[in-house]
Amino acid sequence: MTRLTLLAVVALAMVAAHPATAQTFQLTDDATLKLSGGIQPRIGLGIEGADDTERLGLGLRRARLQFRLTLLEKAGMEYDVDTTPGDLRSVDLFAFYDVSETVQLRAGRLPPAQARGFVPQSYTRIDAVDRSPVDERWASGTLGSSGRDLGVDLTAQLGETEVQVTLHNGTGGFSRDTDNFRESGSASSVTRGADETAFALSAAVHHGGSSGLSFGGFASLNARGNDATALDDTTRSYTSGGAHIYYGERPGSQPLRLKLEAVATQYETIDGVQQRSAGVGAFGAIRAFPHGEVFLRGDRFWEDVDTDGEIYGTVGASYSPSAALGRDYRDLRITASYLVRRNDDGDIGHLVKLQGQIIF
Amino acid sequence: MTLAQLAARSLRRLRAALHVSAMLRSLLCLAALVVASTSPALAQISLTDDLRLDLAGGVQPRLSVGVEEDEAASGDENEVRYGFGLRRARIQARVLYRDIAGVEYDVGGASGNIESVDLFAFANLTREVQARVGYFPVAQPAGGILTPYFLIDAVDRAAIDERWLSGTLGGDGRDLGADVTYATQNVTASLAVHNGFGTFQRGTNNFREGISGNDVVNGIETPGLAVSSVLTYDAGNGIEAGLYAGYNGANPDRTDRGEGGRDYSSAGAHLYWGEYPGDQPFRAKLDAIVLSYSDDGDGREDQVGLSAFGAARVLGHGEAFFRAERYWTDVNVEDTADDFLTAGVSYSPSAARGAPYHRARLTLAYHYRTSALLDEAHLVVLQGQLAF
Repeated sequence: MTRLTLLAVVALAMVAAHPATAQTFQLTDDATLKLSGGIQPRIGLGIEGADDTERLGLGLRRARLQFRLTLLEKAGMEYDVDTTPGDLRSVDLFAFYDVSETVQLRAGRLPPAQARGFVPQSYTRIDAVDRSPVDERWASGTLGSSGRDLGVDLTAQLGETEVQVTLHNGTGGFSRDTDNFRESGSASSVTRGADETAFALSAAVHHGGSSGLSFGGFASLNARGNDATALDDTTRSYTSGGAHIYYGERPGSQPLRLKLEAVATQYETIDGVQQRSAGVGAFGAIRAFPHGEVFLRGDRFWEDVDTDGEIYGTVGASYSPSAALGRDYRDLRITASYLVRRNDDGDIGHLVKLQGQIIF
Repeated sequence: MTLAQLAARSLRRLRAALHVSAMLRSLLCLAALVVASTSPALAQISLTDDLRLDLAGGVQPRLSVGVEEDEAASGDENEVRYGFGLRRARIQARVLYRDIAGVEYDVGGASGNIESVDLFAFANLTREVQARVGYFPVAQPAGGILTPYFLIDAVDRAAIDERWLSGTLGGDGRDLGADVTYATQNVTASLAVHNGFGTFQRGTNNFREGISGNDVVNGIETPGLAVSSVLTYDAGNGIEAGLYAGYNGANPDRTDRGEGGRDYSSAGAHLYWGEYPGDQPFRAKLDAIVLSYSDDGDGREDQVGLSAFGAARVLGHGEAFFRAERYWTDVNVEDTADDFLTAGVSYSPSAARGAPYHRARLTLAYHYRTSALLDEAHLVVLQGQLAF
């Protein structure tokens, strides 16, 4: 009874809220500052079969603020911060320059070219309450769960096709020792003790259109490696690739949506051990009621393709009060989902989540 | 060794130590495009008839190549690092009440966390006198934090200032305290009283305990405070001269070399002709710093730094610059000097559009360090800057 009451309170609060909009300040004739953000409170109930534990609790998945300064409609800086750790953390932090109407250059900490289902799927438009397990597992073994890195990239919009190429450190963090190389000449070590001359190069392509059908892929070569790729404390380089085909990429975009994706990563051989990981995922959603959809997802991820891997199932429904008011589906949204995971060793985990979302 | 010999030697060493590949050259060109063709902005938002919010900020992404030579090794044992980095990413909010008083809050995000940089209240007591209280850059050598980050001559502040900061207040050059500044058209004088540790730590510097706590001291006992002052005179035609003097009786942790924190007294002087990048066709700057630590039982330690900088306008809206510096970590001991050479060029697309030089700027700098105690080092940095 108590659990149901909690869920009902959150659901009611979401439905009663009014959608907000991003604020744009005209600073001067040629400069604007756009302020946007969002918050995702949730209630979760988890049951872990491996150690026979249960947990019920409220949480904040994300609470973001984004500042985007644009000069002459051509250049500027974007700064995203997240407050859910209890303090403020940098998420995206880069300068950008529109080389032409179709080509943009960025430098700083940014999401490099990667699997379409991870950071390129905005946190405001995630199908369920979390991104696909396949993509989350891929990220946790490559760039890390933030999916960002320090580097430069170029994005070109060629008709209905978007191409992104990124040259980046390959380490994914902010540590001055390994990631953020910003030493000065007066330092006792201008390299800060690191002997590192490798970079990562990533590229992605995505073709979309008004029909709702879209597809693409990515490839990444990370010659440096990082803590997420470490085996026995030895970082490993890797090559990774993936593909996706979507019919209706965004929640609420059409009555029937289908999504298929696959990722694979091959790591550097260490002491004769070579790891290859892979994952596949399938998602479907139907508009079962006005301004809402019911979804089902199945994923399988092999951390090592020589094992049985993990299997994930997700089922749930989302409803958008903002869509009911004629606004974007993402502005106000409530999503309930049930997830089940079967580990390689047979242990089962269950997770029920109810998440609200307000985006402005 | 003369300066010219030192420069020639450093370039020879760099060529030998570093093989810049075609890919790296492409990278440098790519990064250079980031700040091209931008224009300045200035953000002022009226909150009410009496309140105004000024927003400012900037970002400095960079690409670096660093080489630490290993002179003891016979083979190719140099330590080499390539990589992208973020030197600074700042947002400053300044709320003013009728130009009489206000609050300034600067945050930086380049470390991954959002950290407080400046955080103080101010009051304009008269047209010439301003008082501040909070966490702010106290009086210090002119080449330190008093030179705003977006007006740095090269990509980093002078090495002698960075070394001085690392042995006194710390790299951020701020402290909790109060100061008064008197400023006229030609003269600026500032006096600060501050805690002396230069951090936000409650145990040593940020004294904010309440009576309900178990320990109202909750930290170290105070051995003394710090006092710092500067005096500058603008003689016109781009010429500025100034003096700095300070004493820190707080024995901050940063001065501890094994026997506990030490008091120190410090002084500095500068003579500038063209203080900031792009100010005038030719610029020249001289800086001197003296830092004297009290005897901690292992003897006194006296540090001295000298710096000379020159720049000439090139490419219409750019300048080529050169800086030579020497920093003695203890003048009482032989062979403790570090030499630093910096050469480079900066270009400002915003200046090309008639806007301030610092709004959009691209700087390429080469640094060379030779030292009695450390191996030789080379650092090449290409940095873009957007500031609004």
